[in-house]
Amino acid sequence: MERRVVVTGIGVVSALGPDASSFRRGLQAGRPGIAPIERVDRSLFRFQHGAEARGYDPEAHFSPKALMALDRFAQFALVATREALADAGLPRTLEAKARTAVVTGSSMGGQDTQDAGFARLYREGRRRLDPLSVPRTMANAGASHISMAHGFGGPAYTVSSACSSANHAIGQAFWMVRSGLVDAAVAGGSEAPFSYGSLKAWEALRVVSTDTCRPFSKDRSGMILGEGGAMLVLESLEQAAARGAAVYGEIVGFGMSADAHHLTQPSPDGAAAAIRAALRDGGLAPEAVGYVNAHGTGTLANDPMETAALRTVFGAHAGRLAVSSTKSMHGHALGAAGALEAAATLLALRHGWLPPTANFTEPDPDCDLDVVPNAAREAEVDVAISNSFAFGGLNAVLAFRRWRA
Amino acid sequence: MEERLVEAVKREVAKYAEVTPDEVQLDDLFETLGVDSLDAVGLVADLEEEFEVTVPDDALTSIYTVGDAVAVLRQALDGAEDDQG
Repeated sequence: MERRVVVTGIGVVSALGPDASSFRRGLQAGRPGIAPIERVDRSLFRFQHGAEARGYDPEAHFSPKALMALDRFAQFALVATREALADAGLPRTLEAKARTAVVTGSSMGGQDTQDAGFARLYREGRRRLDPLSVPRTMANAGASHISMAHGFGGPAYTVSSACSSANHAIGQAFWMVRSGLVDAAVAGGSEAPFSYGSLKAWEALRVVSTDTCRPFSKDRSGMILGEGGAMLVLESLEQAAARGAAVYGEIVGFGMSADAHHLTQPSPDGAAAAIRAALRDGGLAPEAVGYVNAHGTGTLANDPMETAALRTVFGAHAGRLAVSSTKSMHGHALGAAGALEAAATLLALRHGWLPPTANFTEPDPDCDLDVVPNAAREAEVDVAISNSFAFGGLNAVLAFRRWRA
Repeated sequence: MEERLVEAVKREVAKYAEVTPDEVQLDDLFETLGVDSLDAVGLVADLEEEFEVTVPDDALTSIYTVGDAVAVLRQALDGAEDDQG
């Protein structure tokens, strides 16, 4: 028999603050964490704004020696995990730790380390790199450090599917707990894209806004990059109930698809297929869904495509859905995006309000959904989905249900 | 040079052992100091850079004590001087 899977811990580092409670307050206030970029010399860029984790202080969390081995993206993974585990209070027996999985998402791995290393070689003409360059840069650094720091001996790995990485990671962790392969999992994603080379690559794609992220607005002008990490503690309902753990919500469905279409142009058919797969996996009727945490990048291409996909799947019910893009506040954190948005969705279900689409100015007829513009809305929603659609056409959708104790 | 070498090795070891350089003695074992093989690779790399020498890969496996690290580095320095001569 399949087990039910609940979330009992949430940890977040984001542009909205260094922990989950500042993240929740920022979302509820509809306050974007978007500001002039500070981590690189922004005068060298066409775009000036980013959603950097300004409130995050590495020295507050790690010793100088520990920091030598940790790229910024792995720090985010560890800090978010520490908070999520403290929140959940998981059993710490050896047996329990051996049956705990760790699945992290990362799109770009240790970009800070790679960028600094390459600058040393190519710009400064030096011949040697830090011996920790490889373990700092590897995309699985987050999963590895989490398992080592907490002694988790179950399946541990990293999923890299660009902007869908964290949703793929959480979805697979969900399936592992549901099937009984493990009893618990730490799952999420982290990303730290604010290095010169990585930002130049994004600049070249011409998808980053020169002002701010306005998902679903007629005058939207692109995405705003974000950084941070979010981790969820997943547990079988059986275990959580037995130990009387507080529950944020239930993960009920996970769906994946590929557009098999184009490197950067998203397809509504692929997106719709992933949404349908998540609903089917959770045994959910489309009409049960009340809230959609949209992929909502604010690019010209994504938002009408996502609208079309939602209309295809939900038909007339699409008009009754509340749909918001929290990327308007925490930015597009790439491999961490799905994790930040899963956290946002779970907090919304638990606390009875829906996070808004911030920076909204005027409706676009091609995005004619209820996008919860600019102000959070009180609403008791039973079922929500969270969409992630990646470059390369890889889609992953999670479905959540509100927890009634 | 010998004094500078010893001082640099102690400073680097101290960084990885998370102690002060005064607490590091030449006959201290890396293992006792909590300096593992990955730390050793890192501290040798830092010293290679500082003294502009190359320590061969197999020399690393012969480092057990702080003094061994000094010896390996001294050997690399002597080799570099021979090359110049």
